[in-house]
Amino acid sequence: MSAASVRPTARDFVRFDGVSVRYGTGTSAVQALERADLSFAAGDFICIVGPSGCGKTTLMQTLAGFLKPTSGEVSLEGKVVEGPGPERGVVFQQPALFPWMTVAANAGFGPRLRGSRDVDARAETWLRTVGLWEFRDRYPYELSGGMQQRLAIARALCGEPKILLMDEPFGALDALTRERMQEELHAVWRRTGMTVVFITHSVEEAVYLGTEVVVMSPRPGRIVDRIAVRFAREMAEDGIRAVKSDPEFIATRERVLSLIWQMGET
Amino acid sequence: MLLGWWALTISGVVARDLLPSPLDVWNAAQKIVRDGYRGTTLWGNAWSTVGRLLAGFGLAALVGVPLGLWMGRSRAVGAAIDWIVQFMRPLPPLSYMILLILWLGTGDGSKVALLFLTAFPIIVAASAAGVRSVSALRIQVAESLGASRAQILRHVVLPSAAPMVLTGLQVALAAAFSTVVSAELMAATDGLGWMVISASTFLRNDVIILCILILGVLGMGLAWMLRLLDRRLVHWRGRL
Ligand SMILES: Nc1ncnc2c1ncn2[C@@H]1O[C@H](COP(=O)(O)OP(=O)(O)OP(=O)(O)O)[C@@H](O)[C@H]1O
Ligand SMILES: [Mg+2]
Repeated sequence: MSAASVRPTARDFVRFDGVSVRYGTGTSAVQALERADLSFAAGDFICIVGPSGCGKTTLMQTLAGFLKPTSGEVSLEGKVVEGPGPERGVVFQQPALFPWMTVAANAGFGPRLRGSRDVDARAETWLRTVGLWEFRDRYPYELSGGMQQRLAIARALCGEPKILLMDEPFGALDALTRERMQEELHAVWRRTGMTVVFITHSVEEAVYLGTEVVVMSPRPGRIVDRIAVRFAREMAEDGIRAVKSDPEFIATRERVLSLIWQMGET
Repeated sequence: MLLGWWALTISGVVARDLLPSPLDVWNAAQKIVRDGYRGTTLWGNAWSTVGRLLAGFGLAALVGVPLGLWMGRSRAVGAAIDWIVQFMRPLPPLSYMILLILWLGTGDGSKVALLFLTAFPIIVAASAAGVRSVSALRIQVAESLGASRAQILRHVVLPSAAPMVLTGLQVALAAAFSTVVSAELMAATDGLGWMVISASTFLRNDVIILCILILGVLGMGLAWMLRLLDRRLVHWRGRL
């Protein structure tokens, strides 16, 4: 299951080429990323795991365009990333909603900025998808934590990005809500064929959601291994529950976990 | 409180001249409304006070909010102006009032200037802090949805700063209100503060109490109007 065996063509939809990031200068400098190389194809669901502080968020920020690598470059469809852009939607661990806007206005914010004519229709589509249509006239502070995060996802999707970047989007949710959101997200991914980069602390989540699990080393962050996974493509028929009890799933999960454990010891 | 006041005056514990009864004050009010006070009217005086207040405060808001927002946005502007604001803020306005009177006379000019200087640093500091406290995450979300710098300013920075700006305005109004009355007590030819000083020279304690009551109600009313505006404009305050 080496990385090269997974769809060898079109692997450079996104490319990280020797990306290093150093925060600060002098003695207090922190080397967060050290020559990280990674590329993947359109339509992939890439899950990134690794010990806390290894540079997962940093890696995502360079692709989002919020952070310029100290050296190396990140490109999307062959174009070097210079800054944030609407073709890359982001969802953070906190929903970061706009409390002065209604739920509908939050969802339609992206298209409205660009003066699209079908703002309302698009907002409706995505609000219905995440089950918030009834709450369209409410304000974000009237929603529960899980609903707020669903709205953040709807807002990102409403901008019709080519790629969705998610940094521990379900980290703050309870187990039940979390599972439901995983199913929803997965359904959207299967239907739209969109590319997703998903950072998580949960190896289990990574193994059943992703088409590929990327394992990072402790700081300075490097890409240690990439494991192709097949469960993401099967979830449609079987659902999360069935996948979780599949022996192959358990074996893959253990493999990733032991990789992370080994790194902790060295 | 009214009952206590009444009881105190009726029982005769305090002399009537020093503490007039509520009825005395009511009578004085009726008389002043009918006949005026020493060639001036109660409404005229009240209006002088409120007019000065609104002129000084309004100017301070008009200049202070944009300037504060700009300071919050631009590090250079913030650094250039911040120390002036920090210097002005702790100064009691009355300490430099005498200079303003020497420069601008005892008329409305010096008082409006005084109120401007009272409210201005408060408003500027609050507005700048409002902009600086904007969540970086919200800005990143807007950027990733394709917002331009101008759109971010309008749709994210300004609404995020609004709660602090409005708090600043409320604090500044209260400060300006107490300053306007003090200024009128010191040097004025009309206004409710002037009425208090004038009445004190004639030992008209009923008039003094009347003025204090009106001042209290006016202050409350103005603060209440700003609070109403606050609740309508920033309904999300404290939530999220
Ligand atoms: N703005 C910053 N300034 C200085 N150092 C930073 C900054 N952001 C992150 N770091 C450092 O860089 C390293 C990587 O941080 P990063 O947030 O990318 O890790 P992470 O893998 O996302 O961690 P977690 O799983 O805990 O979210 C950490 O050691 C952190 O202390
Ligand atoms: Mg992180």
